[in-house]
Amino acid sequence: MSIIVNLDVIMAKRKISVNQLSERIGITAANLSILKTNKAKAIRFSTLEAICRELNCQPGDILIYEEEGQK
Amino acid sequence: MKITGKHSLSVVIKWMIHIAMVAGIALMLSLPWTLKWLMQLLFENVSSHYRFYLIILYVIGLCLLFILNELRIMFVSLERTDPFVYRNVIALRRMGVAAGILSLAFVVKMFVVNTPMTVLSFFVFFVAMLLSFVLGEVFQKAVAYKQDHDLTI
Repeated sequence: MSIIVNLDVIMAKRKISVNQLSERIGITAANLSILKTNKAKAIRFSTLEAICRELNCQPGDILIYEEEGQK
Repeated sequence: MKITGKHSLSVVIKWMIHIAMVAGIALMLSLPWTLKWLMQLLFENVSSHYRFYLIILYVIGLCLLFILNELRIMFVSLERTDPFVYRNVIALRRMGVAAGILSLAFVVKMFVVNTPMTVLSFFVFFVAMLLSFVLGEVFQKAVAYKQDHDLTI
């Protein structure tokens, strides 16, 4: 997929674990893991808002567009 | 009464399918003798159509057992309350093919020994074939929607 979820980098910068973040934003650790590993097909605005609030960042810090084949 | 899940209507239907499958297998195994007995009872002699009836009834029996098995798989998924899986799409398509073979078998029977029941059975299985293929497509779309929903975080 061309949209890359850069959540693991931001989480590492903020020194926060999957369990901690999932608890704070109110989703399961399994779902957060799906998001983190780029397996998700879509993200709700409410989830994005909660992540940005807790990690104190912008949506653009989490979501990156990369052309197909470019890595 | 609940429709899906444990202790629900789908479990009752699943057990009815199990019973029908066991009865069907027993009937298939005893078919050469049962058919002879039935022909003697109805026509007072084993007619020249005995071999034809035997073959056509084996084809019909095998197709029906196949359809029952696919239905059983679908009802197991209903018991798990997870019916929108790709295996059920395959089950519906396979049932459509089996229903198609059944309707063909009844067409063949129409040319050899025609009865009003044969014509009716042909129409029933022909419609069942069409319905199964359409439902298979509907299920495939439902599976795609469910996957999209499950992977929306």
